[in-house]
Amino acid sequence: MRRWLVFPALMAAALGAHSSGAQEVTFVIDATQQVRETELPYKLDLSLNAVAPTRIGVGALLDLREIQKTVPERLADNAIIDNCGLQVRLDDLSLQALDDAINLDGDVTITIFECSRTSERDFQRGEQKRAILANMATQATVELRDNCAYFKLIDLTLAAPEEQREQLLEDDTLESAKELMLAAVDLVLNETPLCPELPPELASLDPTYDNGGPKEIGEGGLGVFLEGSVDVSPSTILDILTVLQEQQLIPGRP
Amino acid sequence: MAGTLFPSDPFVYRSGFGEARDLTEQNDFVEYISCVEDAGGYLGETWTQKRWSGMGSSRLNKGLLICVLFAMLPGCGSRAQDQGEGSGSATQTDGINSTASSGATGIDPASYAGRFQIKFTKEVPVRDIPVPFTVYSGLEEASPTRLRLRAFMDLRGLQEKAPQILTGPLEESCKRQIYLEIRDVTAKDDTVRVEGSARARFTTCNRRQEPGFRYFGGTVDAVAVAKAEVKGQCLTFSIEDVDLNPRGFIGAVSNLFGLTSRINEAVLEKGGEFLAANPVCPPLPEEFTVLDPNYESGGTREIAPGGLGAAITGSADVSAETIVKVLGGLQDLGVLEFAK
Repeated sequence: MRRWLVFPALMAAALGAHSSGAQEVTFVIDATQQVRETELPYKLDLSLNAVAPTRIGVGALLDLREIQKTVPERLADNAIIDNCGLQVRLDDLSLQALDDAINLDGDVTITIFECSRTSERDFQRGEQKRAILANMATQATVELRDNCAYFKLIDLTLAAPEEQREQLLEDDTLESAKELMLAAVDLVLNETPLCPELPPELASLDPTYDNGGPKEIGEGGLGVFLEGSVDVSPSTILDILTVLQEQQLIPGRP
Repeated sequence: MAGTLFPSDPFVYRSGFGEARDLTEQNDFVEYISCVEDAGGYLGETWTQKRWSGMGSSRLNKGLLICVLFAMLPGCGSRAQDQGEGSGSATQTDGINSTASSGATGIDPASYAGRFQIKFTKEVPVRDIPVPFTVYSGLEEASPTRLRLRAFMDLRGLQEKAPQILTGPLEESCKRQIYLEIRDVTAKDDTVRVEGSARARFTTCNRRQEPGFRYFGGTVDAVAVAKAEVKGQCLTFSIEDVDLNPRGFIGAVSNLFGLTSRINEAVLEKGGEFLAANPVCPPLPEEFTVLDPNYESGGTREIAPGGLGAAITGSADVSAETIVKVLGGLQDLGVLEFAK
């Protein structure tokens, strides 16, 4: 019933908006990101503004701060790489956004095992040869493909303590661990693009994004922005109203 | 309500001679004369002046007697008529009741055609009386930048409450009081027929500018034909025609002295003022209001048989800006909420 009470406010708002010429509306949308079997929640700030008579500019800011908090927790004590001769466990990870960059820092334990081939396809892990504690630093960026945002690691550096340096150089452990980590992470990231989906009510405003990147929200908060536009017509309004009606948010058909 | 609008029996003249004697006092008398002159054509100025220019006390008394006689007659007549009228009005209202409750048949679906359609019912107070309105609307794309809007308003609720809403004083000045009693409102094509009666009382003004001595009164049956014009999303009614039929013996006298035409004038003038000042604004969906449509044409339509409805068409320019505005409006309405 309160819908009927906001009429004067609405008129005032409409008139006010008209006089100021500021034509922008912002929606905050609860969204989720599927990563493997888990759904991670994030917030989508969608701002729409008229950029041309029949075009609405769309700005989407994906607020991933919740994911930023939960992902390191989930990854901690998990093996990023776990094959016959090499295991890399993530002991600690911090994920920070800085302006338009994403910094990842962490500690990893690299363990090297004996590995012997038992048949054409099978390998047998043998004794642990050595374990190295290393520091990992990497930067991630966001790429826009097929209207989705993909995270991508730019580079990765692994640094081991001084006393283990020599050993490592000898058998190239760090280099191979790094290559494997990059490959493994990219594989995961490629599987989990961020494709912000609009709620059904706004589905007719499905925009085409042509620009995107990381964006710091607040102090170090992880965010991703996407910019694009959508062509509109009077039927866009009818589509929206029809969905609202189907969801019984507004009175029904005669 | 009716009790306050209609003093227990305003047209029955009980203490006529007592008041007439009071009038022999000079000051009151002068006031009386001026009021009669104000009333203009009612008694006819020449008649008044001829009669009263002498100022002799015997002639004055004789004149007053004639006046009092006039005043008494319509009073007696209207009392009997009032009773008949009362029972008549009850049956009429019942008739409308049954019409109003019988479904939405008789409404042309073309009057609210569109790809998007909506129907809703809402109660809106009209002069403090809650009136249910049912509105059918349709929206469709008329051009790449324009939406066409059609709305049909079922006003049978208003029609049913109309006697209650419209019955009351039309004019209450010190020299003339006109009360309307509306019995029945029916729609015929694009006009509205209002049946009722007008009770007029012409009085003297006393020193406090209050109605004093009543020198004439009458009840006339009235049939007014009104038409509605669309102004914004409101319907402004105007009286096209009034047909007055004075009752009983006094009717002939009224016609003789031009009383009928005076009441006619008063109903047209005052009724017109009242209707112009009280447009009927059926609710439209907020979703439409956000579009800020231009209501272009419309008027009352008959929902056969006799039911009152109104059709409105309009259009709204739609640009990216409008859509953003609509989205903002819908968000303010609380229907676009995507976050907890």
